[in-house]
Amino acid sequence: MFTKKTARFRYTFYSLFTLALIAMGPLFKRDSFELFFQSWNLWREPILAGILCGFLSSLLGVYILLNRIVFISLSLSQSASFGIFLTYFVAGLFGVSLADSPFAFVAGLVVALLTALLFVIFRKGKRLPDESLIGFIYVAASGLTIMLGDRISEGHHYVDDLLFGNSVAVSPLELKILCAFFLPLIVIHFLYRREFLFISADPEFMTIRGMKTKAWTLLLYFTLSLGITLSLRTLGSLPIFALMVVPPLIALKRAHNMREAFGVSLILGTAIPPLGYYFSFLFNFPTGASLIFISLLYLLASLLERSVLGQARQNTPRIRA
Amino acid sequence: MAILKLKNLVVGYEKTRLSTPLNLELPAGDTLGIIGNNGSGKSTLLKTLTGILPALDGQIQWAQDIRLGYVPQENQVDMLFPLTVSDLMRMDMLPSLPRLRSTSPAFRKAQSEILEEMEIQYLEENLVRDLSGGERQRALIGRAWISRPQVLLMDEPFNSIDYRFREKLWRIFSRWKNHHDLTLIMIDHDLNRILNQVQWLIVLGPEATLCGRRDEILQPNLLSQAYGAPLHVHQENGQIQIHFL
Repeated sequence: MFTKKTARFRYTFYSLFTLALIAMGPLFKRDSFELFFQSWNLWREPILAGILCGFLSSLLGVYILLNRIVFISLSLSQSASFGIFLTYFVAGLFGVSLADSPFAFVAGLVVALLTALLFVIFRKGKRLPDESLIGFIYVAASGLTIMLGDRISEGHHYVDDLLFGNSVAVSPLELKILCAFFLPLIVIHFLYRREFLFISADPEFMTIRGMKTKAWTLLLYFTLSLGITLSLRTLGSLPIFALMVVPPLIALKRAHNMREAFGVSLILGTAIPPLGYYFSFLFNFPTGASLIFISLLYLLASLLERSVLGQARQNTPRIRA
Repeated sequence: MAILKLKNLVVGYEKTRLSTPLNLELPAGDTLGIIGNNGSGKSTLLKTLTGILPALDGQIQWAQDIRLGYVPQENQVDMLFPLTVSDLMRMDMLPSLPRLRSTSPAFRKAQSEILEEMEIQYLEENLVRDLSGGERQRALIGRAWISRPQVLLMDEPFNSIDYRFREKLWRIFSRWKNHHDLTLIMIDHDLNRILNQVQWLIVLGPEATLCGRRDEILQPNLLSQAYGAPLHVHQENGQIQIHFL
């Protein structure tokens, strides 16, 4: 009973905190607040895309945090950047100008996906933590990106989109493409939530029980890398990193079960992007930075939640049969 | 009929051999004990039998469509995950759980029975990481058994278990053997306990490896050679007792 009460408390706490953040608009910037909703048509696609990316990122982020591969989103964004520059470089060698062709961007995504698959294949060794391999990928991809970027004049705006996002320029078509990829990913994660969870928590036991843990791990990492790379262009590397770390971190700190962990993470992941746009409009912040700032505010709120819950725990006797 | 056949099986890791070739045909419903000094390769052998580790040489043949249950020496479940005791039970019953709902009547019944048998029914919604060592060990045994495997492989299952429950566990294992024809393969450091429960033995030692029926292996000179230390075997009140000299 204590567990259900604390879960309800957490959902209520973060919902109220979200309302409090929204209320800052009419309190401090009334004109901008009214203008924000009057110009909803301008913000509709970016906010919906942000909500979708935030929902998926906070869902995948739970696995990323629990599997201790927190920096994988940054590594994949650098791998995608390298893939984009490599495409332009090779095209340049053959005298082909790709200009604004989406081919280079798609190639970048493919390189990121291949990087994720290579990571799954080579992570078997137990002598070093996975983060060391992710760090190596990040450094290698970053270095190669800088080297190639120095040699070419095209494609830099694509890489800037990946690193910093292009969240205000989401078209209805791009939103539909995001939905077409994201909704199946969300369905896959709901249907196979136990498989993904258990192979991460105790792969040895699940192998003995007959599960093909390597194949399931590949599928999990494939969905992680697809979700990360598709979200990158909408929100950018750092905001995606924030969404994959902060909501799950807050959720897992005091979670009494996985359902609560996912529930709190998804609530936060869905609320942060639209609030990021909202604050960006109200206070003239850059959108990506605004989103990260909102994440930090929720992190600070979690400290308040901790002290309130800690007090409640002290006042509740633990009884065992 | 043999549920497990070992043909010249050699276990070890990274080309380090921990045993001489092992040959054994274990009938269904019997109990195999694996004993030896620390670092002799007991856990390595058990993990090789489960398929987690590859054999260095030889063959392992399980009966067709065999279902294995496994209790590790140390908890392998990542404690970072906020998993409950109920989630642990779900691990073993994953194929039979409904895809859209969180539980089913069959699972609730099986879970209720095993948690009651392990005397941890009140811990169903508790986090595994918050349990005491003994409670966690009971939960791991429950997880290994809930789906009624045909073979239970256990690595020192009595670790952290209090004396009263250890006695009860042996009675539970006997009941499972009698009612479900369960085959047990277990590692235990308490020789005086395990030697009175098994029909088959594998002794892994620095000087020798023994493998076969318990009564054939239970010779002081053979065991002394395997353990690398002199010992004495005698019977007391119908119970086999071993003392190292």
